[in-house]
Amino acid sequence: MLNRKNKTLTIISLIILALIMLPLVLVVITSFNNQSSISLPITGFTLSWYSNIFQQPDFITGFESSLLVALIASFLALIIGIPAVYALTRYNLQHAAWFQSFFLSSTLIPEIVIGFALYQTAVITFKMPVFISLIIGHFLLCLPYVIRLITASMLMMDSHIEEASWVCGCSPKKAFFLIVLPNIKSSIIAAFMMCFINSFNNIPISLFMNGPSLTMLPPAILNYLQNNYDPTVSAISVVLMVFTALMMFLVEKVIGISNITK
Amino acid sequence: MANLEVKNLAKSYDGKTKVLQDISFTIENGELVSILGPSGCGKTTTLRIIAGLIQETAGQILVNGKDITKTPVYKRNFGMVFQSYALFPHLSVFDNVAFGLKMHKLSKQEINEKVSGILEMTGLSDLASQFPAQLSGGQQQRVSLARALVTNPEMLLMDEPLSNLDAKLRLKMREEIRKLQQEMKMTVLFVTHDQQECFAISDKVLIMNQGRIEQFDRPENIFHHPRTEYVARFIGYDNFIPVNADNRQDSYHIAVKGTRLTTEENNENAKVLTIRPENIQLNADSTENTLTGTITGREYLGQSFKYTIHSELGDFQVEEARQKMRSSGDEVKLTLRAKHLHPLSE
Repeated sequence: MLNRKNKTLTIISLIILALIMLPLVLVVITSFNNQSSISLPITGFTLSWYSNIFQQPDFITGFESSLLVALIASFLALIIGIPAVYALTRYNLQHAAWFQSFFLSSTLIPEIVIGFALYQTAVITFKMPVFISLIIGHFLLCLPYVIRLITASMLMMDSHIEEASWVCGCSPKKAFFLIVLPNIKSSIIAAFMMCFINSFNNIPISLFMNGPSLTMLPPAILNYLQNNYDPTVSAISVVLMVFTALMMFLVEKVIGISNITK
Repeated sequence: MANLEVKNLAKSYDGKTKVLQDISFTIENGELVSILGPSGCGKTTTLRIIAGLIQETAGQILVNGKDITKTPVYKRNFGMVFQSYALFPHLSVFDNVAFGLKMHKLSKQEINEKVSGILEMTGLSDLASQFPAQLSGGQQQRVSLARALVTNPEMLLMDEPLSNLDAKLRLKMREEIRKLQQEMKMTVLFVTHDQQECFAISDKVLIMNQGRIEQFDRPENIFHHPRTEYVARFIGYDNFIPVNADNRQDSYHIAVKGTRLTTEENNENAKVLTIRPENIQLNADSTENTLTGTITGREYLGQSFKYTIHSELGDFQVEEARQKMRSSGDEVKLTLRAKHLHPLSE
C-alpha cells in the first residue's frame, strides 16, 4: 500500500516528530534525576522535585492567577470576538476588510511591545490595577485566534440556514443562539483552546505586570530558573504538559479533535 | 391557504440600478404560480422580498387583503424551500421539521403528532432520527418540504427547489410537489429557470426579464400566444420577421418584400411576426403564406432534423420529422400557416 513517495514522507515526518519530542522526553527524564542540577545522564530516581513544586508559593499562586487570567481573557475574547465576526461576515459593512485587519493587528506587534505599552499606559499613566491590565493584555493576545477561527467557520456555514429559521418563525436574535452558535460550536471550542493555551503560557506580556502583588506562572518559572538550576523546573514542566494533554484528551472525549480541525 | 397580491414592487440597491420595477401580480388561493426567467432577471429577489428576507424599495404585499409589507420575516407565516435545502445541520430530521412548531410554542404532544403526520406524508418516517448530512439530495429536499409545510403556512415559497437534483429525480419530485400542492390546496410561488419544469407544474407562469414582468398567464396561453418578442424567444420561437406600418395591407394581411402573409390574429401594431421552427412546413401542398429558400445548415436532433434555410425574408430555423435528411443546397418551399404565425407588438 505504501508507495515510495509515502514512505519518504513518513520518514521525514517521523524525524520532525522526533526533533519536536526529544527535548520534551529529556525534560521528563531529568525531572526524576536525584542530582541537584538539570543534567544527563541521570544517576538515580526520585520524586522529590515534584514535591518541591508545592514548597514554592510562587508556583502555586502563579498557577492560580495564570489559570484565572487565561480563563477570563479567553471568555472575554469569545464574547467580544464572536459578535464581531458575525457582524463582519453577515452584514455588508463598509470597511469590513479594514476592521478585520484591525482585529488581527495585535499579531503584528511583538508581544513584548504590547506588554511594555500596556505597562506604560494602563499601569503607570492611568493607574489601573495590575490584574485588569493583565486581562487586557491577554485579551489582545487571544482576540486574533477567535477572529481567525470563527470567521473561517462562519464563512463555511450556509447563510440560508439562518434565513430558513427566520421563515420558520424564529427571530434573528433567537436564531443566533439556536442556529448560528450550535453550528460554529467546534470552532468556538478550538478558539477557546488556542486562547487558553497561549494566554496560560505567555511570558512577554505577563512579565511586565509581574510583581509582588501578582505572580504569573511562566514568569515565576523563569524567575526560579535564574536562581536555582534544579530539576524542579523539569518537574513543573512535566506537570504543565500533563495538564495540557489532559485538556486535549477531555476535548477529544467530548467533541472529538477531528471535529475541531474540520 | 391564502391569496397573495403584489403591487408595484420595486427594488434598487444603490438608488440607480433598478433590480425590480413595477412588479404587480396576484396569486389566487390554491394556485401554483412560477416565476420563470434567466439568472439575474430578478425572480429570486422578488421571492425573497415576498418572504421578507429582503426589504423592498417600493410597493406593497398583501396576503388575504392584509398588508404585510412591514411585517418582519419571522411573523409572516410562510413556508420556504431553498435551493440548497438549508436544513439545520445540527438537528435531526425530526427536530428540523419540529423547529417551526417549537417557535410557534405548540405543546409537545401537538408537535409530535404534526411532525409524525407530515413525515409520513412525505415518506420520511424511517429517517426521523437521521441527520441531514446522512441523507441523499432527494431526501433532504423532502425534509425541507416537510419543514416548510408543517406549520400550515399561508403560502409556500420555493426558490429553485429542484435544480440541485439529477434529471430523473427532478421529474419525480416535481410530480410529487404538484400532487401534494393539489391535495393540500396550497398556494405556491415557485421560482425556476427551467421552462419545461415550470410549464409542467404551474397554473400560471410569470415570465421576467431585467426586473420587469414580460407576461403573466396560463402556460398554454404563453406557449401559443407569447406577448413579447422576448417571451417568444425564451420559449423557443426561433423565427422572427420584422414588419412595419408600410407592410400592412389590412388587419390580417402583411406584405414583406413581395411575400404576402396572412395571420389569424389581428396584426395591428405588429412589429414582428413569429413562428416556431416545428410549425414551418417544407414543400407542403399550399400556395398561401409560402416562400422559397435554400438549405444552408443541417442538424440531427434525434426525433427530427433542424435546418437553417436562407430566404428573401432572412434565415429560418425549421424542424422537420422525416425519415431522410434533406441535402444542403436544396431549394425548398416554406409554408408558414396563418394559425401559427403570431404578430407581436413588443
